[in-house]
Amino acid sequence: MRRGILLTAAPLLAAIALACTTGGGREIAITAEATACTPATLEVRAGEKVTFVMLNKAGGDRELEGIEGTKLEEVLVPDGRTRKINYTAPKETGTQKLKCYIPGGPSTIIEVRVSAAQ
Amino acid sequence: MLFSFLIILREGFEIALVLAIVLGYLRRTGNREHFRAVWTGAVAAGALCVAAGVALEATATELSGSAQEAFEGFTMLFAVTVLTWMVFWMRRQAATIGRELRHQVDIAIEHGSLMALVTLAFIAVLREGLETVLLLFAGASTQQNSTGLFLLGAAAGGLVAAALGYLVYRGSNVIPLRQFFTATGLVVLLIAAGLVSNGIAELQESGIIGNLGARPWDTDAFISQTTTLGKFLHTLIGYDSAPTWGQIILYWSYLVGGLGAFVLGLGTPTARRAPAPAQPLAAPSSPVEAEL
Repeated sequence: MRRGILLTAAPLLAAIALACTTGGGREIAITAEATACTPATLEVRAGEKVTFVMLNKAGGDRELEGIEGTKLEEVLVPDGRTRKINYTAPKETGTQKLKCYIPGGPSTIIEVRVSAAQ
Repeated sequence: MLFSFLIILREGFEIALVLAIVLGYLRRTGNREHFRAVWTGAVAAGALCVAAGVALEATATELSGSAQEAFEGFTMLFAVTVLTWMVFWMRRQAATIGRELRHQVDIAIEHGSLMALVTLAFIAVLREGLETVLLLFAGASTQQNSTGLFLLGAAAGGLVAAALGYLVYRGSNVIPLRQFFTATGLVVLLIAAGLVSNGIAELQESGIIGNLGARPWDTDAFISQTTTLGKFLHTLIGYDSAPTWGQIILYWSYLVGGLGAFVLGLGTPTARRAPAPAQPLAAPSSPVEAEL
């Protein structure tokens, strides 16, 4: 009986753990300040999977999202909190853009420079 | 995917039920030649609903930034109003809807009015169809999974709803209607409570209302909204890893109030009955239809 429960629960817990996983390659720090988000430019390699670790020290909520074709879903980072956001760079080199902004307010743009894969 | 499946299953079955009752009644009264009129009304209403859905999506796509968030937020709160009304309306109507439909079909046949049958099917499908469009749009605004999965869930829900409708049409009594509408009603109220929280969050993010209080906790370390599980819970029950006090209070107020009223049966008529025809052309074909 107990073994049956374990056999049933183990895959379920594994699936939940997998669904909760946020990890994804190298971590890149982004900081939201009151007037802007830094750094203004980021470097990634083509096809690279990275995790943006965004710390909000702005004194109010901030959002980060991809614009102009950059595939990054909108994420709200509450004031004083940190959020980990997975991002996969495109396979082509070039420049991608992230918008870091006050909800309903002004924004700053972070350029993501995608270089050739090594 | 589960969100679109549940919504289409519930709403689609309501549409299928209406059509099954009308078509089944026409079949038993030897009026199969009027099937075309019913299908004409149903298809026209379906086309109008698809057009409404496309217009809604196009409007949201045209907007950007805070205007888009405000549009989505207001749409979600409007969807909550419609959902709540629909759940309690369906419970109230469940006792009489079959008799009312058969009565209307009798009148249409007696007067030889095909247009009345077309209109009957058109209005019934349009009402449920527009609700479906609104709810799917509200859900699609919060879901961040692939569009393919969303559509797959909707298609699966539609197929199951159509199959259930066919069973009713064939006179089967294998579907416990009251239990079906009670169970799906509870699930719909849970989804609606999530839309309250998500709608308020969208309006906060748009800057229209500002944050409704502080964020008393943050569960992002346990279930991040950027993970598959977090997105799923966000769409289905309005999970927010760091909600504001306003979201929390409104969510629980709606959930407790809505579920309480539903479980206690508030708004259910005690003796209201629809006017029955003096001599119906045919009796209900099954216990399922008879109880409607």
